[in-house]
Amino acid sequence: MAEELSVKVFRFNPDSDVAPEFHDFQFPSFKNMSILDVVMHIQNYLDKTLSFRFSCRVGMCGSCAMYINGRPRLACRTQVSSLSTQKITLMPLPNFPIIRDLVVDMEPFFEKWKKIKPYYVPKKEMTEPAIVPPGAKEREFIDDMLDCITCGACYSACSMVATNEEFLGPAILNRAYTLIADKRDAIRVERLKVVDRSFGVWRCHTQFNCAEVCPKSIVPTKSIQNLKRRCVLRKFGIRK
Amino acid sequence: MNAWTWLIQRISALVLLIVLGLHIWFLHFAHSGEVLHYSEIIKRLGTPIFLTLDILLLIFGLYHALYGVYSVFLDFGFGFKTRVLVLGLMIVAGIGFLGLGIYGFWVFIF
Amino acid sequence: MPSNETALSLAFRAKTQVWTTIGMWAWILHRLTGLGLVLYIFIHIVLMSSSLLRGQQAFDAMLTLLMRHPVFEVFDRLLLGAVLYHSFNGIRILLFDLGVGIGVRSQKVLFWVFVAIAATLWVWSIAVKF
Repeated sequence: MAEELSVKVFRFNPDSDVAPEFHDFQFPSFKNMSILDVVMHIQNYLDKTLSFRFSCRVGMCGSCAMYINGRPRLACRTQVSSLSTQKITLMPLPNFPIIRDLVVDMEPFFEKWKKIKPYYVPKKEMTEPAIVPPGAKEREFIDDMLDCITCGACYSACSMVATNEEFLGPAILNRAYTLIADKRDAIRVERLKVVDRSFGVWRCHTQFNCAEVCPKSIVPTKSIQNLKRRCVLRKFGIRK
Repeated sequence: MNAWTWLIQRISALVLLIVLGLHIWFLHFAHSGEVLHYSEIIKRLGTPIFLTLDILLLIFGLYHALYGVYSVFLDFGFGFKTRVLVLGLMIVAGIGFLGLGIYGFWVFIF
Repeated sequence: MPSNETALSLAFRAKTQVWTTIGMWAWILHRLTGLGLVLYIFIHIVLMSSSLLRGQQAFDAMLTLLMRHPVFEVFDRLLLGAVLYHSFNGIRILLFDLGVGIGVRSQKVLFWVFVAIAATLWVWSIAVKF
């Protein structure tokens, strides 16, 4: 049965608008409608100037993250029915500069990403291919953490990112951990030094908002806590 | 630096759980809310155990408190110079209040 | 041109936080009680030191005021509440630091367990006329 949806959408064009506005749209939902379907409907039939990002439609690319009814979520993976209300409010992801409407500038996020050198650097003394066997405990431990699609939801949900522009944030710290925990990697200590800073791991206060909103069920808090432990143990000469 | 100060913060938390717990117990629960008299305090602070407990409370309490305040301040991402300034303030405040507290115990220490 | 001003505006940031999680409120309360207790510790040190130094009569007068005046009785109970919350949520945080309970659900369970203990202790304290 089609329900009448009432959708409030954040609209803002920095080039022409003085201030943001909310535009209202009413239309019936259809079965299994997702928020991506909602914004597509608005753009196709009601207001073709609405800007938003999407790509894969199936929760793999991380493009369509936006703030939906109180939380950052992937639009394509959020069913209207899961919101348990017909009133929907859409805003662009917080903690990012706004390009237009629901589109944000991911640049600052990826600038921070680069800081931790987010790529494996092989140890010279190991004969390639250096392998950690598939069943190994250490691989299992970081397996889930590798699923990150850089959607930015966790970064948006974190209050520490909201108040501190320099804080690296959950996604970046999570990625840093997956590489620092990789015994084949040659620059683990260098990476650890990057995160062992005031605006690195030490700004995390275990709020867990990141873990709550991650569409891949990653718990960045876990990675960050492990990083803190490594930072401390390094001072004692353990776990160099 | 960060890892050390953070570790001491956690240690101070543990110490405070014990020492503050004892402090509240002795001062309030141990004699069901009777108004504390100077004479009782003198007796207590005259013993090395209670004096030590109170001084531990002072040191670790101040460290924990000022680290916490500084942590909140850092959460707002101010620049290097401002951070150094506020850190200096924290250290001065810490030493100041510690000094004041020890001075209050002066008679009992010497 | 991306707009940083709008994204940074207090109204926008306040409106787009995640308010509906236990973790958010646990953190806020921990911070609020912490700041309150810092203020308290400063005043407490100044008050107690100065009272001790001013001698028996001044000290006894101050203590009688602090332990008998109805305003301070209420204040003391609030203070105890703050100490209990901050302590028990603090234990929860220490557990996270030891690697215990770091999961979306487990952190919430821990929160409620510790809040329940803290609340029980608080109510009991008031009942025994703290």
